Amino acid sequence: MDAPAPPSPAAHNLKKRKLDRLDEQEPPPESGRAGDGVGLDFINALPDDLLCTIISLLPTKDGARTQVLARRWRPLWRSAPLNLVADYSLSLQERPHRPPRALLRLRTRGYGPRGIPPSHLPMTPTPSIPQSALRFAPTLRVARISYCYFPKLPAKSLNFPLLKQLSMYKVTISDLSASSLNFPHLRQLTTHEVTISGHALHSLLSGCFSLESLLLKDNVGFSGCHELIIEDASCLERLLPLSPDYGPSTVQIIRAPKLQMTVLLSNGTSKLHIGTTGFQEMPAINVTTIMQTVKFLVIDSVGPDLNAVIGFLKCCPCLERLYIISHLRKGMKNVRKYDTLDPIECLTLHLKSVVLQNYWGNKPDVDFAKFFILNAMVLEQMIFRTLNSCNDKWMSDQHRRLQMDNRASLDARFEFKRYFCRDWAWFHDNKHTHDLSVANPFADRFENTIL
Amino acid sequence: MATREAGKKMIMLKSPDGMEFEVEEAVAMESQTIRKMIEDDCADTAILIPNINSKILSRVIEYCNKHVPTTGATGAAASDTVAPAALAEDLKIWDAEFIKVNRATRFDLIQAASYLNIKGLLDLTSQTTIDTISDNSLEEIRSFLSTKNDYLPEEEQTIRRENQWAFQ
Repeated sequence: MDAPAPPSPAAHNLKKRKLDRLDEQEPPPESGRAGDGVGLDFINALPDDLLCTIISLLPTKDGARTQVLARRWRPLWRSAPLNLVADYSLSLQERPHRPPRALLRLRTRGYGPRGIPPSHLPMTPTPSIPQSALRFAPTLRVARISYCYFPKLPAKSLNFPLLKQLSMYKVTISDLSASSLNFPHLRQLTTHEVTISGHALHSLLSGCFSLESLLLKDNVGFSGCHELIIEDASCLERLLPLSPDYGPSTVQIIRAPKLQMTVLLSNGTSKLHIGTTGFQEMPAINVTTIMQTVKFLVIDSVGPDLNAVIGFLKCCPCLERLYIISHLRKGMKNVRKYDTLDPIECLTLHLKSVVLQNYWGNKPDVDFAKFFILNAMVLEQMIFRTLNSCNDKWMSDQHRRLQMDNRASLDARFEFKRYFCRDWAWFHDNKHTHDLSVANPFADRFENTIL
Repeated sequence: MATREAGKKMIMLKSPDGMEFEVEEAVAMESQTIRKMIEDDCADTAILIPNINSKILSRVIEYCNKHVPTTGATGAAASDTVAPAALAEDLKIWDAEFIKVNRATRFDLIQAASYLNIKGLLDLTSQTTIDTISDNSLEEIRSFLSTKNDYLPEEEQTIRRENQWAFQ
C-alpha cells in the first residue's frame, strides 16, 4: 500500500474546513455514484444506529436541532444517547472556567477504554453536571454521563421519570445525591468506574423499580471496599458485576425473581450471600434462596474450586449454561464423590453447556472438568479454552485423563479451542449486553467462533 | 502467544470484488471485528470482508497501517513508551489528509469503520459530519447531507416550538 503524498501542514485543521472546500472535491452530482447503486442520498444510506452514534457525538443543542432536518431524523435524537460530556454549549455560561482540555479531547475522540486510557488522563477536577443540562431530565430517555458528579440537589431536580437507559463512566455519586436520584423507569444501567459508596448504590438501586439489566464494572467505593446489595429487583434479568479484582467485595442477592443471567466472582468477592440470613466467607456460600430462573452463570473461580461451584449449581436448579473463568492454583483438590442419592437438579435435567476458560489440563482443572463429564447427564457441549498448543499427544492424554469415554451424556461434544487472551479484556460489555432479546450476549465470546 | 512472537504473521483480507490484500496480523487487528476472528482462530485462510469494496478496503488498510502501534501490538511494553507529541501531531496531520475524500467515499468509510469496528477511523470519519452539523445552518446541513426537508411547514414549526431551547 502506498502512503499518500505528504500532507501539507496548512490543511490539517478539520474544524476550519468549510463546506465549499469539501464540495470542490465532490464528483459531479450525477456521475459519481451512478454505478454502485447507493444513489445520491449518501447519509440516508447509513443505518439508524450509525446516525445515532453521530448525533450522540454532537453537542446537545446541535443534536436536538437535527430533529428538524427531515422526518427520518426526528426519532433519532430521542433514541441517541445524550452525552453529557459534550454539553459545553449549554453550560459555558454557568461554568466559571473553560472545560479542561481532557474533556474536550474526549468529545472528539469519543470515550471509553480504547479512546484514552483512563490512567493517562491528566488529573482534572471533575465538574458538576450543569443545572441547565438537568433541565431536560424530565424528557430524557437515554443518557450517557461521564467525568462529572451529580450536584447535591433536591429530589425534584434529580428526577428522571422517563429515562430507560443510563450509562455512567467515571461519575461520582455522593450519598446525598444518590438519595435524591430517581429513575423509576430505568431498564438498563451501566456504571463503569463510578465512585459510589455501597450505601449510596443500594439506595440508588432500590429506587430503580423497573431495572432489567445491570452492569457494574470497576466501580470504586469511597472507603475502598464495596458492596452490592440487590434487595428487591422484581424485573432484574441480568446482573453483571464485571470487576475481576476489585470486587464488589460483598454481594448480597435477596430477591431477584426474574434473574436469568449473572456473573459471580470469587476473586475479588470475599463474601457472597444469596437469600436473607447467614453470612459466610467465600468460597463457602450460603444459600437460603433457590434461584429458579437463572439459566446463565459466569463464575470466576480460583482453583478452580469445585466445591464452591457446586454450591452455586445447587442454588440454580435450572441452569443451562455455565461459564467458568478459571485461575489455576496448584494443589487444589477437586476430588468429590457425587452422591447420586442427592442429585443436583441442573446436572440431571438442564445443564447443556459448560465452558472452561483458561484450561491448562493440570490435575485441579482436569478433576474439575471430569466432574461435569461424568455427572452432567444432558450435557451437549463442553468447551475447553486453552493456551496449550493442543498437539495430538496432549489431546489423547487429556481424553484419557478426563475419562471422556465414560461421559454421562452420550451426546456430549468436547472441543478444545486455542485462544490468545488470558485476561478479562474480552469480557467487555458489547452492544448486546443489555439486549434482553438476545438470550445470551456472551455466547459468541465463550462458545462460538462466529461474530 | 507463540505465534505472535514468531515474526510477523500475515493475514489475507478479501473484498467481495475479488481483490486480495495481504496485511500484517497486527495491522488487521486494529479492526476489533477481525481481531475477534483471529482470536477465535477462524483466520487460517483468507478472511472475506463482505460489503466493503476493494477501493474502500484499501483505504481502511492504509489507515490501519498508519495507526498500528509501532512498538508492536503486544501488551504493556508498548503502552509504557509514551508516543512523543511530535508523532501524535504527525498522525493528526496524516489523518486530516487521509479524510480529504468526497462525501460518498467518506460515508462508505463510516460504514466500513462501523462494520470492522475501528474506533479511531469511525471517530475520524464521523467527525467531519459532526463538524458540519455543529457549524452550519439547517439549510446548509441539509444540502451537505443531501437530505430533503419532507416536513410540512407547520410540522416543522411544532418541532421548533417543542425544542425551543435548541433553536435560541
